Amino acid sequence: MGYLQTTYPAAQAPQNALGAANFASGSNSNVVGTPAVIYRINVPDGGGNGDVSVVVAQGIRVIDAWVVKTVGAGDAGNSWTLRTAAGGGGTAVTSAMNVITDTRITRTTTIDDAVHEFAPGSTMFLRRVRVAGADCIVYILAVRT
Amino acid sequence: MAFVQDTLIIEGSIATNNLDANAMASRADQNVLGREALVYRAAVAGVGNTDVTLQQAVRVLAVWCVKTGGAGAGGDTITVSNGASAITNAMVTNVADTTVVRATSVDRTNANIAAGGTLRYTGAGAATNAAIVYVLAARNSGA
Repeated sequence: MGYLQTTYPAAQAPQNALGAANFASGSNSNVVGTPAVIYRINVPDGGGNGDVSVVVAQGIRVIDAWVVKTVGAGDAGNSWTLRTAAGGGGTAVTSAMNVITDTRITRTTTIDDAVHEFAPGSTMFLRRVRVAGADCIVYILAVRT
Repeated sequence: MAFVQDTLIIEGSIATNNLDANAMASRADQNVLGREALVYRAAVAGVGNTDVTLQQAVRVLAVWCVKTGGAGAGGDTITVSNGASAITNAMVTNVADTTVVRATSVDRTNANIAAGGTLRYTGAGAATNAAIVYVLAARNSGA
């Protein structure tokens, strides 16, 4: 059964349990803050161009993205782009982010509001264009829709 | 049994699609438990203020805009304020459609908005000044 307007004693508050499924969705001009959710995508160097796909369980809106370079230096020809389809198809949600030096951060410079929302069960495709040393971690900041 | 304010608990689990800033704790500086980040957003269109009365006290951490509706024009800017007091610089939105424009300054003295205070999004310039503005914040114990 359910309870409203009551409070867990601190010792009984559930731990390690909250996820995006629990969060509310927001709207424009919201007077109550919407919790941010993070998707982190570990992109291996791999042998060439490729995709790392993530099926989102909830509907989300992508509001920011950035790349952290890992495993040493990369190449100026590398890039990572969040897209709506595999193989470099569909539409780019973010700009093509490139970072060469290990540990450095590059943020997206564009977000296409025509495609920034992913429906529940849909797939985010992180497109890797590789020349050499394309390992990185991509962080996607989002809110529930 | 039950959980946090305004949250329905069913069979000992946490209700889905329910938690928002009402459920989040406030924390002090040097916090050892992470704060939950909150997002406020507004669709700014043209010139003028979009005022939002916040239910909780928050500290504004970062702000950015995503340009919408085509390219901007000279003089287009968006500023986020605490009432009449600017929190951010005037972000220049005379940019191409989809461009992300980030605030380059956050005024610490104005960044704490009290419960019942006004989060103001101000568009200046021309009717072309359309963007989604995102404000990243965290609950604050007070203003």
